[in-house]
Amino acid sequence: MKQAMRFAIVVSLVLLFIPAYGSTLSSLKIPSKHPYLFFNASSVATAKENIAKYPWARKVSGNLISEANDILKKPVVFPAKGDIEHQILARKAEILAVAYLLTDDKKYADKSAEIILKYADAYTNYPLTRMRGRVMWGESLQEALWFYRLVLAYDEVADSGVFTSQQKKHVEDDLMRPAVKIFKVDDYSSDPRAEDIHFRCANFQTWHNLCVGLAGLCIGDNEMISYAIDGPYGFKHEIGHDVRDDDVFWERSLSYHGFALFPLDLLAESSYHCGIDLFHEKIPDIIEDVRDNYAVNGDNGPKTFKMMFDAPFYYIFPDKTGADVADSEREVFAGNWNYRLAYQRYHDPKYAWYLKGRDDSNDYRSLFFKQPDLENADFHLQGQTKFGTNGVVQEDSTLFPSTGYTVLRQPTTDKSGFPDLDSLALNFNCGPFGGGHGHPDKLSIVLYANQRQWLPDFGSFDYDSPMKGEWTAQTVSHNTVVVDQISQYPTGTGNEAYPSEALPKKAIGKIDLFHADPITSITSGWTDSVYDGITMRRTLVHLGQGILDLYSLKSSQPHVYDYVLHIDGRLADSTITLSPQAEKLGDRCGYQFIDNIKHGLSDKLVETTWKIVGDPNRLLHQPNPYENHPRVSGQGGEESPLPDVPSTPGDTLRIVTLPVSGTEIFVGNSITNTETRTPILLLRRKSAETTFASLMLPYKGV
Amino acid sequence: MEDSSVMVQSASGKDTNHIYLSPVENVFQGELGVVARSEAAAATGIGWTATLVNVTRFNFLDTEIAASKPMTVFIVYRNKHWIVTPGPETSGKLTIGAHTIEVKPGDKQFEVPDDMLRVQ
Repeated sequence: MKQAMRFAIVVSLVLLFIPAYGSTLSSLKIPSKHPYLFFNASSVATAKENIAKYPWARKVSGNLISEANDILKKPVVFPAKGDIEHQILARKAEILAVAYLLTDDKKYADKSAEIILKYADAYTNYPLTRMRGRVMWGESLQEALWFYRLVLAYDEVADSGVFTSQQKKHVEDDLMRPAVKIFKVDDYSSDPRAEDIHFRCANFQTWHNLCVGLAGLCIGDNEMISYAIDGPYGFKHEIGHDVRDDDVFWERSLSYHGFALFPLDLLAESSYHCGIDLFHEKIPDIIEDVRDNYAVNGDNGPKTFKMMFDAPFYYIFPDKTGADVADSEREVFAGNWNYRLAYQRYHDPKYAWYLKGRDDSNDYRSLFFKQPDLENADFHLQGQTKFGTNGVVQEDSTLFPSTGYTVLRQPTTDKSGFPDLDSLALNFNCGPFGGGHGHPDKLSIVLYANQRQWLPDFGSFDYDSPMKGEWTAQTVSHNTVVVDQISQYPTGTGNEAYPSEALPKKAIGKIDLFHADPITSITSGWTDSVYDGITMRRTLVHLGQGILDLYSLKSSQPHVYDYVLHIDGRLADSTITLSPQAEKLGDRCGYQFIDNIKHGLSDKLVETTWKIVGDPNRLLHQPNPYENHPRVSGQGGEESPLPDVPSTPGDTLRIVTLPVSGTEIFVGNSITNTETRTPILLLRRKSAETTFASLMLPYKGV
Repeated sequence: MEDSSVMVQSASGKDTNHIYLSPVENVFQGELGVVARSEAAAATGIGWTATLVNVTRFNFLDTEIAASKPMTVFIVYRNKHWIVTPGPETSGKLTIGAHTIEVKPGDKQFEVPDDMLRVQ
C-alpha cells in the first residue's frame, strides 16, 4: 500500500514536469459524413484509380473481394471469451467494410454491420477481467487488436445506410464507450493500471491510444481525442519520450518499433482526416525518465513522427534486412502501406526506395495511397551526417548513440547508391536493456556479408514456447561472451521469458568510439553492469573485406570466459584437431541445447573455415510480425517476402583467432529461434584478464 | 613469438585486397599485442589501414610507429595523410616517423601530413 502511494506521488510529480502540449482540438474538424478515419472519400477514390491503373492493385482488390465473398457465405459465429477468433471476426468485419468501399455493394456493408451490432449487443455482457479485457482475457493489447478493426469497420459502413440512428447510438453507447474504458486511464494517481508500464510507455500504449483516439474521432468525443493525443501518455508523449533521439522506439527491438509505428500511423492518418496534422508537428524532447525504466539521452531538440519511419533505413544491412536483436525479426520495416502513407505525407524519396520492387499483393491498405514516384526513388548514406536528433552518419556507417547500435558498412564506391549487396556489414549491440523484450546480449554482434547473415542473432522463440526463456533470452544464444557459463544480468541463472532489470540496477552498455572513413570504420563499447566485478570491452574494426574483433575481459579474479559465435554455415576446415566430446557443456543457461560437440586445445592460431553447403538460408524465413503481436504464434499475419538468398556453393567465412595459451575450442550445434539447428563456435579461456582477437573474413568463390 | 600472420586475398572476389593479422612483440611481457593490417585498398589506390592493439613498436609502410606505452590506435594512410584515431581509454605519446603526437582519451582524430614526417 505504501509502495502504491509512493508511486502515485512519483507519477503526480512526473506529470507536473511533462510539457503541456498545445491542444489539438483547436484544429479539429470532424467531417460530417463517414468514412473519415483511416480511409476517407479521397482515399477511396485513390483506391479505385489504383485498381483501374495497376495490375498489383487489381490483384489486391480481387483477393480482398474474394475473401469478403467467402465471409458472406458463412453465418457469423460468436467465439467464447478469450478466443483469438474475436480478432479474426473483427478482421472479417473490416474486410467486408473495405469491400463495400471498393464496390459500393451494400451486401458487404450489411454483413459488416451484422458483426458490429452483435458486438454492441453482447459486449458489456462479457465479464471484465483485470480492467484489461472483456472479449479477451486480461491483456489489453489483445482487446485492442480486436477493437481497432471494429471501429475502422464501423466508420467505413456507418453512413452506407445499413444502420438506423438508433443502431448507431447502440454501437456508440454499448460498444465504443465501454470498450474505451479498457484502454483509458482517467486518473493516473489512483488507477491500479497506472503502475503497469504497458499503460504508460510500452508498445501496448500505442495501441491503447489508437483505440481511444479512433473511438473519440468516430463518435466525436473531444475528451477521448485529447487523451489519445495530448494525454500524459498520449501520442505526443510517445514521440517526445518513447522514441529515442536516434529514431528508435525505446524497447530497442526494431520489430517492436514497427509494432508501435503501426497504430501510431493509423491514429495519425485518422487524425489528419479530421484536421489534426501529427505528421509534421514538432514535439519537445521529454527527458524525464519516468520510473527510471530506461536511459534517456538529454534534450537534443524537438522530434517528429517522421523519425519513426526513418529509423530502419539507418539500421539495415545492404539487403534491407536487419539484425534481429532482442525480441525481433529480420524484416525491420513496418510494411508497405506504412511507407506508402509516409511517402504521401512526406514525399521523402527514401520511402519510395524502400517500396521499389516490393510486392504489394497482400497489402490491401496500400490500395488507398497514391503510387509513389518510383522513378526518383533514392536513398544513400554518403553525404549525410545525421539522422534523428542525435544519430550519426559517417561514410556509409551509422551510430545510434541512444539506442546503442553501430552499423559498420563497407563504403560504397558508387556515391549515389547504398552499399553493394555483397559487401560486408556488421551490427554492434551495446546499449540500454530496453525492457522486457530485451535480451542479456550486451556487446553482441551480427555479421552480414554476401547477402547472408553469417553470424546471426535469432530474435526470439515464439512467446508461447518455454524455449524463449531457456534459449533466446540466454546469453549463450548470442554472439558475445558468457562468463562462468552464467547469462548476463538480468537473466543470470534464471529462465525468465521476459527478463527485466531490478531497478535501480541497470544492464547498460555504452558505445564510446565511432569513426568511419572511406577505407575503414571502427566502433568500440563497454559494460561493467552485466557481471559483477568484470569490465567487458569490444572493439570492432571494419577493414574493408574483414572485421577485426577485439573482445577484452578484465577482472581482479579468474573467471571462465566463453567467446561465442553462431555461424550460419558448415564447418569445412579447422587448423586445430577437434575430437568428439560426449559430455555436455552445461545443463543450464542455454548450454544444455548445445550438442554434437567437438573439442580441441591450442596454443596456436585458431582458424576455422565455414562454408555454405547449398542449403537455402532457412533462418530468413520468418513471419512478418506487424499485423499482430510479434512472435506470438497462431495469429497469422500477412507474409512479407524477404529477399531471395543465394546459396552459392563456395561462399566462405574464415574466423582466425590469435593464440593465447590454454585456449579451448568447442564446435557444436545449437538451436536458433526454432528447432532448426546451426553451428556454434565457442572459445574458452580461464583467467582474470584476456583478449579474444579475431579476424572474420567472409569471401566468395572457392 | 611465433609468426601467425594471416593473409586473405580477394575477400570479395572483386579486387586484390590483403588483410594481415599478426601478434607482435610487446615490451610488456604477458600482454598480447595485435596488429591488423589491411592493404585492402592498395590496388585501388585509396589507402591503407593498420589497427594497433597493445602495441609499442611497429613498422608500417616503411614508417616506424612507436608508442610510449602499449596503445590501441587505428591508423589510416590515405591521400598522403596519416589519420590516427585513438582507441577508447588510450593515452600516451605516439610517434609516426619523425612526428610525435600526444594521444589523450576522448581525442577524436589527428591528421598528420606525410610531408611533415619526411621533412623532420
